[in-house]
Amino acid sequence: MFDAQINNLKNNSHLNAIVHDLSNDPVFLDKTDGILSGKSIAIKENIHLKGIGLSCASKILQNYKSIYNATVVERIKKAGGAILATTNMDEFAMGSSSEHTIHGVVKNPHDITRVAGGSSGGSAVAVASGMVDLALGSDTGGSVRQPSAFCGIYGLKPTYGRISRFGLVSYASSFDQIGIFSNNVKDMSNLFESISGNDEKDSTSALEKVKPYLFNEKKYKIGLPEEYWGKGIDPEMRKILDKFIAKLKSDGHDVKSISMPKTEYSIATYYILTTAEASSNLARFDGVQYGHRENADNPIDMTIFTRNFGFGDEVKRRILLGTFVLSSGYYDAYFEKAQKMRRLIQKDFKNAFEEFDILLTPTVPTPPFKIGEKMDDPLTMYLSDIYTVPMSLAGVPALNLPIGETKSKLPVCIQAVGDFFNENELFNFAELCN
Amino acid sequence: MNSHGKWKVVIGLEVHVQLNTKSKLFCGCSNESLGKPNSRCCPICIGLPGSLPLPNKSAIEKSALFGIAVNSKINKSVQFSRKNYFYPDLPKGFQTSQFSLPICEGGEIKYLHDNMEKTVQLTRAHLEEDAGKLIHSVQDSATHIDLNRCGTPLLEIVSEPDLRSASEAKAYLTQLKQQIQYLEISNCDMEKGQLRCDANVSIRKNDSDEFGTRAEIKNVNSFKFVEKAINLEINRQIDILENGGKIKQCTLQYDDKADSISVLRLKEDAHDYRYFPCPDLPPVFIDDKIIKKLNDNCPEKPIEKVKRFQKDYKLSLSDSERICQESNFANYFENLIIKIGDVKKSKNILLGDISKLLKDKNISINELPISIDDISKLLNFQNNGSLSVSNFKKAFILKAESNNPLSTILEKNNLLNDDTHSLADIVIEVADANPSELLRYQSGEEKLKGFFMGQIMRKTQGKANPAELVKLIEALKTHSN
Repeated sequence: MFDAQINNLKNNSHLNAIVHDLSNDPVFLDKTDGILSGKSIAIKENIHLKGIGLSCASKILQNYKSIYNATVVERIKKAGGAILATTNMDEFAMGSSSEHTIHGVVKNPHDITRVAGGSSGGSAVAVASGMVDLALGSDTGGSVRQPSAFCGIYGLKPTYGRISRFGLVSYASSFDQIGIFSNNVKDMSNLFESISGNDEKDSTSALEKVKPYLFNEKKYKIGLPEEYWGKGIDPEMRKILDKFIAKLKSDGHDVKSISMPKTEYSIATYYILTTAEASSNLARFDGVQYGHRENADNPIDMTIFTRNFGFGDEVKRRILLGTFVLSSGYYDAYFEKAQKMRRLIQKDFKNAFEEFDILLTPTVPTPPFKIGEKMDDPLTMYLSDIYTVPMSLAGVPALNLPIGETKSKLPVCIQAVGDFFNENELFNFAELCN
Repeated sequence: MNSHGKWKVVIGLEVHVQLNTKSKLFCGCSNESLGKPNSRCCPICIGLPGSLPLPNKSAIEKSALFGIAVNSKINKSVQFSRKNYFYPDLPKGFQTSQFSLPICEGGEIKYLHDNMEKTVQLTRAHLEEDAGKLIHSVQDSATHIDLNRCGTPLLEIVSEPDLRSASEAKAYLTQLKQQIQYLEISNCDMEKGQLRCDANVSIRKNDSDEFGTRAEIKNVNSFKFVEKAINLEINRQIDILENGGKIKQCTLQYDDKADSISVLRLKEDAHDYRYFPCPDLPPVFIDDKIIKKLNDNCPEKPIEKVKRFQKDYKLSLSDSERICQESNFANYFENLIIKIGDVKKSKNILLGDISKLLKDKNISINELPISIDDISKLLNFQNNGSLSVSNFKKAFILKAESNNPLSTILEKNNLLNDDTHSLADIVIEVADANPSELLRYQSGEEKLKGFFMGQIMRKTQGKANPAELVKLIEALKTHSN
């Protein structure tokens, strides 16, 4: 079983996609009549798999082992899926290139001099290179959609609250969602159906029922938010995207443009709120109870030395920013204002879905960039998430789907955005476009 | 009444009470205060990565019940916030607490001080999680961490600066503790840290309206020490001001062994806690049904019970306060009255034999090892003369020590007088055996009463009930053989 996948796993170690190869003894192979039976799955290394290392690609958790299973792992088990590997990522899911990792930079299978995207780069590569059928990642501002776009596969960020976060190491709790990578819609919808739905272990998990997905032929009302279709898109990609839109129109779908005026505030809002939450969520890595510890004469210094040694630059940058925006005297100016803006951005989406079934935007502005290209320029790196961050602020589901490739064989993708809890509409659209 | 010359004292208290819920505030771990170090822990309460908190509804309801009892406004949407700081006993690096919307806002506690009823306004009462404990070991000169206490629900009750002396502070605390015990939401055992107190103290000139700079005394663990610490702080501040100095805002700690206070940190070193709404915990709503249920179940306030007992049972203030100190004790009193039908006797036995037994055995009224039925039986025997006062006490203690039925205990220890019928027989026997004395008695020689008394007492080995005996001897005047 899984011979082809295991072969791909063993032969592609140079891509640095995998942290723990479990294919010699896959987890949960026992159940044969589940919806996921016969499916091989990889999970991002920030999702708890009992007994397996959980470093989150950080020095601070380098030797940490999980002692319990995440809810998604339990649900995969119940549905008969086999977990073959855990995957590489940006440290604590902070990054857009899977370069900020202790496990080596993840390489894009389409061009190994280019990044795979991030932060769930390892999961994207594992699926794109056939190591597994499916993979889980986590998406806080685009960490599933952007790497799936860079690797040319399907990538879903579900509605916030759709999939339990219990057992997912938190980066920004009010944004984090476990997402899915796949090579086809059917596999994705099956995994989605298996792991989504309310979980009493996660107070933020939604009560909405999960309906089985069934394909139906239909004509869509499609919105094109003009703020996403302006300057800044790679010209070659733009052509392919425009052709795709034109085809939709000629197929009889109703395509119109729409304005979402608050879009320009997305990146600022996102980085204020996520870093604030991250500064608090990552406070537990203090060297006291678990993880790496640096020696010092007193507990305060111990924590300072441990965190200084244990966290990489990008994580430190975000913790500092988050600490700043929550500080007394700045809270109102930054955190409070950003929360208000978040509600306005959400309203933009709610308004749009009164008129449209789905929205279409580019997933990324450019094809995958070169390894090392943006490491010294965090701001440019942050801007590579410009099209994925607003959906995370709003909490709506979004699906990356591959639509073509550039002359140099780099993937070109588009992002379909749906109304709250309407992931099935996105699956349907993707299947329609297939 | 404390007097500090030209200085007016302003005190506000922050009281932390551990709620007696079955499980902790955000996980299913037991909330017992027992257990080996780190035995009552799970990924949630020790903050392992990936774990998420689940709010305990019972803790929320107990907090709301407190608010209802002290006339607070109950915020129906309960929002938790994170208070961020690093400390080795705080495994998540933040304490989940409440900030802008506490469960209870406002409210008041009435208390008696020097026979006067006074009122303290409450600012708020909010729910938060306790931290772990650091244990400094002499054996291996290391510091160990016990995380059992992590996640224990705490209700923090913040008063307005309405208290004007250390003894008022103590009286308020006593009333607050009593109120909480009445609600049965905490055991308030200060030795176990179930009730802890911080005091904010400032002074100002009598004729000034402006508040002075305040100092906070942290974590004092007995009412006596709170009173002492506040008085020390008042004197420290008066000394500084009278010598032309200025009070610096600071946090102090009280050392009960040395009976002294010392500065822990100055305001400049105060934490910026960076409160923000906890993104893992959406607001929990307390619906009207729950509020109604809590309202219906909210017991009488202790201070009102004291007043009612004074009025209904004609008790003195001090007796009423004694009886109402614990709600179970007060309830027991009312049960006794129903059973015995006599307020005075109920009060006497409660404050007498029962209280003594509780004190000797160091137990509460709920653990009283003698049933209210047996007490009632004993009192009946006493009333009808078959149990003397000293034998009543004996029987009471013996029953408390034994599982044997009361009748067995009385019989085995020969505590009951022979019943009144057989006492009458003995009287007749003695009279018949002494016919000439009887004749003289019947013809008016009253002093022979003493003769018969002596004879009968000898025969009954002193167990005859004297009152009963007097009656029977009186009756001999008309006895004929």
